[in-house]
Amino acid sequence: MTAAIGGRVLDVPALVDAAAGQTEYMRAWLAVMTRQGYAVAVPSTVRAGAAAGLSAAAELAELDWFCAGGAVLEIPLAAADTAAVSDLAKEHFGGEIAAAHAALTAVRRAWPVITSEDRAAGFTSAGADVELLP
Amino acid sequence: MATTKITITVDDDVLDHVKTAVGAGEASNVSAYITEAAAQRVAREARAAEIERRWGPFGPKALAWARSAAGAAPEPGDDAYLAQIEAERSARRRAASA
Repeated sequence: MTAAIGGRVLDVPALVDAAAGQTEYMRAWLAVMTRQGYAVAVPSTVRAGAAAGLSAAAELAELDWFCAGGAVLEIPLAAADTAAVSDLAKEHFGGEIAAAHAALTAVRRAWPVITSEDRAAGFTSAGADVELLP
Repeated sequence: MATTKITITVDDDVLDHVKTAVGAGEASNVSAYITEAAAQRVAREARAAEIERRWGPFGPKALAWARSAAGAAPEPGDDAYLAQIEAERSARRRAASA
């Protein structure tokens, strides 16, 4: 029957991997998500964090291409959420806003976050489900 | 746009939902609803094919993980690749803690 409505939230390492093509996992994943009709949430701060971690123009172009796909929803940091994100950042992520924004997005939507193993504990303690990069 | 009349078979519960949606004004008629749903799938598959042309082809291990991480139905052989990925992850943990 129909695909379940659902999605995933990306953290910085997942988006960097997709843009830089360090592995083929995230790029294959986007193809699967798109085909299934699932949503990919990219918090705006995560996109900015990924862009800061990419140096080559070609990688930044791939980041833009990734985010321009129909499955990708860029989630702005609303003014009303800045205090909650700041609190989450201080409590679970050593002050990092992008991770906190991803966690807030994930908890609100009840979607898992895709991140690296070294960052997973913060998301788990913030109440988000985590899907680890390989 | 040109249209063609066809005969299709759909599950009764799906048709009930479609008729309810049409009755609520969400589509002008059953044909419009079904056409919109099919068009959305066509667009998704076109975009996925575009991704595969740009970045693919993807190996079976990456696709196994991608299906698992996306919550999509697994294909035969995926379990073995996922076990391999977990073994690699465990090896990295051991190396990091050594």
